[in-house]
Amino acid sequence: MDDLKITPAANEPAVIISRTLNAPRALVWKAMSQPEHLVRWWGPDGYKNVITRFDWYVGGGYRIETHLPDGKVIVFHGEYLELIAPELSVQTFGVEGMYDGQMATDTATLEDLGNRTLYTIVSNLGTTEARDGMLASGMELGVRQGLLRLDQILIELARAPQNA
Amino acid sequence: MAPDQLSATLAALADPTRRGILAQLALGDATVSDLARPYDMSLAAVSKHLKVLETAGLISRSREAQWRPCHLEAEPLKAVAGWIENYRRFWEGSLDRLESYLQELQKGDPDGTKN
Repeated sequence: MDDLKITPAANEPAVIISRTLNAPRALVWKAMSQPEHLVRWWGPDGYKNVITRFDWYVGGGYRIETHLPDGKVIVFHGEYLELIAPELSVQTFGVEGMYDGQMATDTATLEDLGNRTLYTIVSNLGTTEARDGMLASGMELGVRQGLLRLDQILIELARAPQNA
Repeated sequence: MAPDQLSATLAALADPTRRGILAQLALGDATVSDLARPYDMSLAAVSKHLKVLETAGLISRSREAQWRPCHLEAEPLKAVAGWIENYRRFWEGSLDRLESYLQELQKGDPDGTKN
């Protein structure tokens, strides 16, 4: 079932992507954690990957050269910060030449739903400095219930007159 | 969009009151007391939210008029929406592909227990 959701996180500079996959958790973990499998699904249709680094252990990292259909190449890279089979991986995520010097931190969790798996990625873009700054300024970092969609604001914005 | 700007925008959006304020400003400029009306909070608390939005470049405030109306600056929101759209496209595509690949894998390895 394609129930993909992407939402801004309620209380941190992050976006959350989630989707149910029709496969048991062990198999999803395998597809994420082994390069011969990862290479087959990383990126949308038509993207081809060459994995030039795959050190799947805490302190190790990855580098994936992704060839787009139009000939462009995007290089993704990062380090593994935490790996708990078959349920959790935390890794930094960067794109060479685009976000040099600032990495997102992606936390992926696999929730066992029997023969299905809920795959959730929380991608945090905030630097530690930004988060600490928010804490220091006493900004509302209390736990917010639920996730609110940005969509509503964007719909309102689309209706708003330009340069009003 | 610079990553700092992106995180600043996302951080400013990470609050329901601030999202509400932006939605209200999408309908037109408004004063602090206009913006405070729907919320059970002090003007000072609303002003604090406005300060965060202003620092993130999401609103501007007139220096001229005495009541200093707030004005929505849509550019950073559009930029963040564009970024989210790219991100969504990448992940939606990847997860679709993962789903089909998992179906293929399952034929030979129904429960994921083989190597």
